[in-house]
Amino acid sequence: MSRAGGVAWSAHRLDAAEVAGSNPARPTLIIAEKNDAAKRIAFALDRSYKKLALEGVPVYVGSWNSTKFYVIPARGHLYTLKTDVGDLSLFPVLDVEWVPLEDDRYVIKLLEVMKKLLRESEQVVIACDYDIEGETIGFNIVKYNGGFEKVVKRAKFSTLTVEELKHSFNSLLTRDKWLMADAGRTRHYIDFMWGISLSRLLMEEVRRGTGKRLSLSIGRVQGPTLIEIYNRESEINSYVPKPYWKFKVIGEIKGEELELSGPNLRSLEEVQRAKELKGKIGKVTFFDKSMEEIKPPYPFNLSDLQKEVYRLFGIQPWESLAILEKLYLRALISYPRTSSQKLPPAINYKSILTKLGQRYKETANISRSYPVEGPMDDPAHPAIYPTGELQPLSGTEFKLYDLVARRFIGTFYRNAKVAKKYIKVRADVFDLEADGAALVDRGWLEVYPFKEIREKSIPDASVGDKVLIKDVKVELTYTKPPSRYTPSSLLEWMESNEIGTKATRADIIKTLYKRGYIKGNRIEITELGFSVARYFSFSQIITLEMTRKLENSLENIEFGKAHPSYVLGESARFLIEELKNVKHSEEMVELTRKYLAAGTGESFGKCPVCGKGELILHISQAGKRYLKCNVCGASAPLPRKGKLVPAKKNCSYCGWPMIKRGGWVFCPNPECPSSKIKSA
Amino acid sequence: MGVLSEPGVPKQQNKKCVVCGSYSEEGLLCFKHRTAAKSLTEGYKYWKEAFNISFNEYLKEVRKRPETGVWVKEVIDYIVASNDLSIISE
Ligand SMILES: [Zn+2]
Ligand SMILES: [Zn+2]
Ligand SMILES: [Zn+2]
Repeated sequence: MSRAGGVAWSAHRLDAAEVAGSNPARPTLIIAEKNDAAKRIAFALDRSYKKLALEGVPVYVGSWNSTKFYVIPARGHLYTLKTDVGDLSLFPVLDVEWVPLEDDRYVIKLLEVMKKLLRESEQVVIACDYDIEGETIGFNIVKYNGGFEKVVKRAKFSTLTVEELKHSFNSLLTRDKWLMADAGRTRHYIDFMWGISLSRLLMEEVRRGTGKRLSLSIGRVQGPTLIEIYNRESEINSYVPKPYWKFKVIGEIKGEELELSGPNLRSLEEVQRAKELKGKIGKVTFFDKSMEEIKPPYPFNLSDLQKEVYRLFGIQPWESLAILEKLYLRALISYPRTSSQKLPPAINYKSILTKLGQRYKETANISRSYPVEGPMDDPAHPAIYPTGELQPLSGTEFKLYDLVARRFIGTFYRNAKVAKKYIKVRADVFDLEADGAALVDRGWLEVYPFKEIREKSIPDASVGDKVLIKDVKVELTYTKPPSRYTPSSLLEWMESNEIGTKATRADIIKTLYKRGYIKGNRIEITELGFSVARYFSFSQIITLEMTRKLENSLENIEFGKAHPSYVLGESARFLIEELKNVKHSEEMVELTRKYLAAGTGESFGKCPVCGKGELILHISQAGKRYLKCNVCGASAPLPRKGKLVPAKKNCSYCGWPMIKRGGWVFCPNPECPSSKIKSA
Repeated sequence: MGVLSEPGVPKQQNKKCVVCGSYSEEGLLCFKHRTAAKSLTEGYKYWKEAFNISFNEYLKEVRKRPETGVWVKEVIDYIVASNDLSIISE
């Protein structure tokens, strides 16, 4: 590090003492998670920043507190886990290491540029998202490029507004332990070891029984989630409805009519007795009037927001997360991956409400100086709130932004007030009852009108009043099976069972779809999914309890209560122990065989021969793969190895749907003119 | 050292579900139809209480309901076709 060649000793010493952390000649390298975030950070620190393109990699250069800075965006994870144990019949796999995403050329270039800038810099700032994944991304870049020889600091912010970013860089955090990165890296290790080992077990089991190598996989958290869907499917398929009768009467109190509901009736005798009430007189046994105050709903955390967005707009959780991410990168809302239902005063309520007032007149009617908050907290970020910046928005982006903004304003609003009544009537052996509700003050519903208060008017009464039963209505009804999960309700299930993290749950569900284990918005399990879940449920390898236990240990790392190597060891022991107890399942093999005989069910597109059928992927006894139309039987051979996916376009020569394998797109039609051109 | 590299468990014969012919770990029914038969057995008391009907009438009524699960329907079809009630009492 001889940078002061030729400078007089005294001057050099002065220089060194003065600049221990901020030599103007030695820049600071700031690592951001995404390009949009990098741009915002550069802009916040220096309005006249410049954009460079080093080997095609965008780098933003400027000056902050008279120190030169570079902001370079990562592109999500640049490192991934890999094992050298290539033999698929070998497991458990415990040898794992981080390697750069080598098959991505951009990542290779990006890492080269980062390495060069790191060498040049005095200080590194990890400014990736302030959570487990973000810190893991930044930490890996610094660690595997010699960055920890430098001063490494952490930027913490929840919004990408100029104000907050400036504040964040004026008070950078120093770390001696990178607990979030520890937790993230350990989670990745454990998920990788379990995922690869369980998948190999599954494939080996199928190969043993059927002689075929099916490419199957299952993850540590996907497993119990799939089993839950399978349990639900089993309940639905083995459901026997129970008959009962709904029972209502029309009564009259002092000339005023009201509908009262009675208990469900279980037998024809009860129905007969209920019908005989007609024309009889009952008596009021209870009457109550009260004013109910309904507090504004809590500020949004990610999963509450995802549920609400699904309920109101039918948007799936992973889609809403992607939109929220965009709004965050445009500095319109705070960081969305949060569990918190709290809004600390530091976010400056007044300033946000004033800015929002330009679009939302309702801000003039708020009555609380502090927002209503929920019990859930998050050490890294507050609840999701609007920053107050206004930009033109449309479509779903507007819908979600509007929801966040209205919810935020609503938390400062007065309670809604509902006048309630409750009446109970005794007639023969039956207790009948009715509820009344009238909205007296809309309160926060003025700004957040997304909750429905059902109003129903019933007359006032006193105990002892006579009630004439004018009519009796009974309706034969049957109980219904439990409803199918939706992605939204499944997410809720995962959350309440404490498996996965707020950042990963939606992706785990998406992966189950991608692997062909589940289908539909009202989730049905496929035959393949059923076999896999049945196997793991039968063999008891990935139980909910085990998954939850590991989640707890992982959380302990983040809070400094457990060492990563301890948790890693614990997880490896679990895994080995579980694999020892594997029970072979003939049933699983049989299910898989049936599944194979029917084709895998995976369609690669419409059959161009008959125009009616679907081209379904089949695997022969000998392990050969081919497409076969489920209507006319037209078929085409496929390569034996490699993952095949529909390329979603048709061959321009023959019209067959094209197929992608890795980077190669081909037409499967053996008669296709294009193949003759090539081989000619 | 793959856990499953030892020779496979010998296949047991005659362990087929009487309803669907699938492998069954134990008894006359596979997992699916055992679960369905169990809930079919348990459901009768509610229908008897409601309508005071015989078991055969119960089967007929349940078979008609859209709420009834497909595995249950398969079990009912088997019982009706074979007149074999033994799987219910199993
Ligand atoms: Zn066809
Ligand atoms: Zn072609
Ligand atoms: Zn069966």
